[in-house]
Amino acid sequence: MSDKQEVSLKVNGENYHREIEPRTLLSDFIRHDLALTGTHVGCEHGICGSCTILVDGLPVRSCLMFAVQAEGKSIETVESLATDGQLSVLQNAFWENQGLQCGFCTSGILMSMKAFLEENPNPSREDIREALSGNLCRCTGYHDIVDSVAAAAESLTSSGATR
Amino acid sequence: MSEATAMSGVTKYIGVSRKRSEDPVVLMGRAKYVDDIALPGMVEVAFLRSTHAHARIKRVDVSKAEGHADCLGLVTGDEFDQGTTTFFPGTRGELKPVSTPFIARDKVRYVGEIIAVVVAPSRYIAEDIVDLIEVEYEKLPAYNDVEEAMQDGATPLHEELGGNVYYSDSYSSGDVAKAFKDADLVVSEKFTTGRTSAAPMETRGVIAEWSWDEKLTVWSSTQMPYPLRTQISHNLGIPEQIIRVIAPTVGGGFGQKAHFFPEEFILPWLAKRIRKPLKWIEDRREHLLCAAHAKQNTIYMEIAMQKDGVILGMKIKNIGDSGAYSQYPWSGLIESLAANTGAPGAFRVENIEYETRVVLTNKMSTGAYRGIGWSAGCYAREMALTKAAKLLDLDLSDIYFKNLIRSDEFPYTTATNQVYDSGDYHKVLDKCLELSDYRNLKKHPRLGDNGKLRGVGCSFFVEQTNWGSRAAQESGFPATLHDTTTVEMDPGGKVTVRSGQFSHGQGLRTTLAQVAAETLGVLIEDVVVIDGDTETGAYGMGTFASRSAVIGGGTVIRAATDVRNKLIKIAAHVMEAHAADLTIDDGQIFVKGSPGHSISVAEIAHITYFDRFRRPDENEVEPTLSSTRHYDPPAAYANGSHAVIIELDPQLGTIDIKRIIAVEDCGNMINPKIVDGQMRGGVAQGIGLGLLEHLDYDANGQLRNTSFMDFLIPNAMTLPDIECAHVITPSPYTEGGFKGAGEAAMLSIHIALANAVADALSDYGTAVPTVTPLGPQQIMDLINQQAAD
Repeated sequence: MSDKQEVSLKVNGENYHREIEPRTLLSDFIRHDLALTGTHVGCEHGICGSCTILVDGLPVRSCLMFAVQAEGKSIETVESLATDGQLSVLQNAFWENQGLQCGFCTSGILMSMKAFLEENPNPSREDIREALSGNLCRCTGYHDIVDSVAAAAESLTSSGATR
Repeated sequence: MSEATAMSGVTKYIGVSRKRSEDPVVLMGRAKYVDDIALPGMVEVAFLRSTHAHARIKRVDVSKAEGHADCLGLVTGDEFDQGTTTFFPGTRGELKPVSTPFIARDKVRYVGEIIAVVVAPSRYIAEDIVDLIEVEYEKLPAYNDVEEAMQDGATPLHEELGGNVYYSDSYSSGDVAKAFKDADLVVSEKFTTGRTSAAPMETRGVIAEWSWDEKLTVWSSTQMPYPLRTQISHNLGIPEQIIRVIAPTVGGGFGQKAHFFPEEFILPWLAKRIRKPLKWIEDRREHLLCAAHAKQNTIYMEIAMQKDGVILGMKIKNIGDSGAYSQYPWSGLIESLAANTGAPGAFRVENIEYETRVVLTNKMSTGAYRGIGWSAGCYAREMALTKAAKLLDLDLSDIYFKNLIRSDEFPYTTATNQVYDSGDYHKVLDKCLELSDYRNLKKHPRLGDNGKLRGVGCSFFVEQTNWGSRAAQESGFPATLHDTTTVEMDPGGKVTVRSGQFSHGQGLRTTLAQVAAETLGVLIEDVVVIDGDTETGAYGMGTFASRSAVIGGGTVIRAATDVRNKLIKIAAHVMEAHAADLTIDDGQIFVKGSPGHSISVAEIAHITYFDRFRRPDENEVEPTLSSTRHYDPPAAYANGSHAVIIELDPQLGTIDIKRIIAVEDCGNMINPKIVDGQMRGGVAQGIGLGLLEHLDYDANGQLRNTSFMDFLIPNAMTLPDIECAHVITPSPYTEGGFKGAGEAAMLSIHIALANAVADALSDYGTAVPTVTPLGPQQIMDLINQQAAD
């Protein structure tokens, strides 16, 4: 099937317009058509959460969406977090607290947690674990990720920053 | 031969929890994993994989597939008939060579085996074309159970082997017959451990490109770039000089990516013909079906006990489920043989007898996964001891303390000829029991007000680390492993470490920089570690088997020491001082005690390269600041202890883990935070092993769970916080006194969990868990079994 369809969307603040096969997954579109490879694909079944991005501010598994379904939407991926090579408060908290090992699940977790902390600026460790439960990690055992998110929450509330 | 350099205590860079230099690019989403690499003109590969577990291939009809407008290439086993044979000489028992074709030709032996390879502009289209290939199979009986497959009349998977047992050995030490005759109690149990997959978050992937100048470049998500280069050369007949293997950022391996898979040979071979860069990225279903499986064994364990808890002897029969092939290169022995050679564990057991059988079945082949055969072997031994404790009315910790090797007995040679270098087992176990409040918890009633049963379990492990030749030998694998590192200083005094190890999450670029900076006396900011690319690294076996802190650290210490000595010699000449009086710190060279009058390392480097008048005569001191050194260490044995506290619901069989305590003694630590990370990651995988993970093949060899929906691995709510503590007994034998730390929990945490279950159910009877994982069904079975007794 090579009937293509047009899609227009915003990704990390930039407008894109492309012609693609309608069956192209949003994850593949972001990674290959837009060459934004920071978002990773761990299962393509919508379970591991590695491919999590924000669509109009909400965390979405990009492997469960077709790119054409993102028509007119505003997407944020991990590449939007740092500013001019400076890590965001959340990213820095992960660095300080060893919240990553191989890094493959990390982008999905950062995007999930960004959205989570915006809604829940003062989470308990249990709240964090529950919010994290949709993102699988095989390397860390989650403890250091919880530490990272808790540290980020504290930094964000004390500094009054939002990211 | 260099004596061990004992680095005791915390120094400027050793024993310090520095942040990892690897992290910023990963956090920003800039790190390149294999699927992130795009090459001009790149096309993609998809595989047609067998849908039957055991069948003859009668006919493969590719006509429709080849007719597809976008089919750029299609290959079957008729055209590419190469393969490998897994064999190594010198094993104790008889090992038969097992051949693996890269593409199946006459028959398939497991669901997922490759039958055809399709090349197309995208994976989407390649899969369309795969669907057009028609295969006619003639089914054969499929074996899911080792005890069936090993019978004399069973259909052989590999006709040339005659039967399905390809390895057999037996071993005996001491007087086992007497031990069992004298015993007050003999515990005899059968254990069956479940099959699992390491399942890193990044699946496997390969890119291969033949360049215009007739060179082959292969990118693979592998733990072993140099050995892969050697194997591609060996199996495809391509000179190693023109092959470059690059492991980019790798998203986890855990031993699973320390094998050589058919895809890693098919793509390089095909790339030459297609003359476009080829990419294959494994999807998760393929991964759970076709990336090396692990941990499934059937173990008959008998332990002879004195009534005071002393272990008199052990008799073991370990039947390993190898799957359809002998996974290349470690073979199916990596489970059962390692389990048996490590059978005595931390205990003083002089009388031991074991038998090992490795059997072919119609499933994906099993290979190395964190903890290898020790996970199953330790489980069998420990749960038998838990049973003994119940029958003798002792606590398991009593049995531990009675039998643990004492700190004054090291170096200790076990009854299976493994030489444990150092440790203080009693101190480690004490620490764990204290931190978990174990003894106190044991006094309290199990049934809580909420109707749930509380349980506490502990475990103790000894972990063989530093897989060099000697560790491999002590586990029954005669092999020579080759590891080097190059340390070089540029004209500006900055240091590049070219490592033969390969980090895929362990932070080696940080830890090896710590070792290099410490050894050389330079600032760590001036050290860069390069790994993963065979063009720019140094030959090494890679990272697996808890080897890289010692072997990576040790080769860095040796090579950096050479460069340091050279710098000092040259500086002595320049400063007109005695070399013996000079030292290097923070990148400055000075007479000890007079840091005020110093010359920078950068200046000495510049002089060495470009000032032939100020540097010593070239015939006295060669003006090169580079060294490549080799290290093949003795085995070093780490140890540790875990405690797990649970609440068990006796109506549902579900388990809620309340606390986890992990104590580790891995000798001198380079970066304690990184060690904690390894401890915690290992705990999570061990909990997965003990509680959740089971690859469920049916009687016809069909794998029923091929997604994370029904192959469950731990998520953030499966476990609580993991409390870590450390004891340090350096190795007296290794450079730096380091030991490995990677596998630890996989020898232990699932045992602590099972002991917590046994404890929670103590009012029900004396049965102990004999399977993994312990899902709700298995817990209810245990409860019902005790009720029936």
